[in-house]
Amino acid sequence: MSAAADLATFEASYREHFSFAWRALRRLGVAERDLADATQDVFLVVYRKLHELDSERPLASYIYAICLRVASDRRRSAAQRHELLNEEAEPAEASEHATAAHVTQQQNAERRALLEAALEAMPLEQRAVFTLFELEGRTGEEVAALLCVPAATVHSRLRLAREVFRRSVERDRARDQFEMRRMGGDR
Amino acid sequence: MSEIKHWLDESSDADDFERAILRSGLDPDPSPAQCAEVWAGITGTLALTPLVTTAAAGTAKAAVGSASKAATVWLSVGKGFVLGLAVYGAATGLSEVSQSLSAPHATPITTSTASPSTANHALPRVAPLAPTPTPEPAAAEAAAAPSSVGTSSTLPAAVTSNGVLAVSPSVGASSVAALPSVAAFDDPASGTRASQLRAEAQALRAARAALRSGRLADAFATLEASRRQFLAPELYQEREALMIELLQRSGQTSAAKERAQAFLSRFPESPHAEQLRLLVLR
Repeated sequence: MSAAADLATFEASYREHFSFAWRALRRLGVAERDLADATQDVFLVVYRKLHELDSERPLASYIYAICLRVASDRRRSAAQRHELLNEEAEPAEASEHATAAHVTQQQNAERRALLEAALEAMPLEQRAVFTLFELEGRTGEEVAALLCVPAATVHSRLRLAREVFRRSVERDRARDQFEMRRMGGDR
Repeated sequence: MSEIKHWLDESSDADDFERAILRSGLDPDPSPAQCAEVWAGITGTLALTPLVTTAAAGTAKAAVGSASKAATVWLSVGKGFVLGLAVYGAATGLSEVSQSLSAPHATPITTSTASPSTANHALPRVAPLAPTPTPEPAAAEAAAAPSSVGTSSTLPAAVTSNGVLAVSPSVGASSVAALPSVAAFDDPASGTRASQLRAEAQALRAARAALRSGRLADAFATLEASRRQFLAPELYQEREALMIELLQRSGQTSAAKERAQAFLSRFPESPHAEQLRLLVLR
């Protein structure tokens, strides 16, 4: 393949999979402020490995595997620096005079923090299955193909991840419902 | 699996509270600006850069408007891309060159116009190399002794991820190690791979920035530190390409050509290859 063709192929792959990789990294725990760098890292690997890829395996599957590696590495680095991965999602303190819009915004931020906490409580392989299935909306078969694991494994990881999620959010349910009543919501 | 319902599905067994929490994780897609920003970072790291010259065909009058742009040979390749000149320098003599270039008058590069021979070149048009800074005596000495390049290297041989010894061009035919598979990225045992890639990319960016601003000694030092740190580099070709450019820019044209030829024999299909062929032909 010529260099120009290589570049064209690489750029096409980038355009096609950029959003997917970005979301995957976000949902695998890469902090918002690090997403651009992390996505760049992912595609640098893709570029370097372009000639080694097995054409039988979907490129998205490779890209997701690389996302897992990059996310895992970044989570480890962040932990070493004692940083919160989701610090930008930390909710602000409630104000006495907050408007309804502010309360809604605040509540969304709180829910996002709950989600982040639940995802953080999962091992990375469960988090991958959970986010691909529940947030990315993939089917079990699609998740299995992306991760190159049997469907039964996906099933098992999803079940475990859901248990973690429910345990994690349950303790905040009452507080959330109180907030909803306070702002007159009708969920 | 297909019978399992997504929790965001209203008919699943998740309740409203759980669904509300899940919905908070439905991020909007990244913006086109973010897509462009990341792409710019990738092309910057790999020295794959959008065409920056506007030289008219036939005249090859350089329209490079800044020192930073003039610092590279640009070559139009394929669909609107140019590749930063691929490079790598002779390992030996590097420290001397580096030291000599740290003198205050290692001047920033300025723009220039193309020579007639460049203008009439049959290959894709190339903006001319900016004039290289006049090397210090020591650097001139090093440049005048290309025979030492790659023949008396005391540097450790580094096997790259591409199975190539990352030493001097004269070892191009040396041993080839096994290629790592992409599957290695699935392997938790290779946990440092991504962080290494990141660190390498940062070093390349720093070296390139130094080169573009005329701080050649800094660029050499950064690349040399990277070479010592990463004995099995992920971005070997990019580092080599940058080093060849540095050699060329510091007046060591013989060494630059020698390394470029070695590079071409190893990576004839590299994205940097076409530019290096032009360098060899000059």
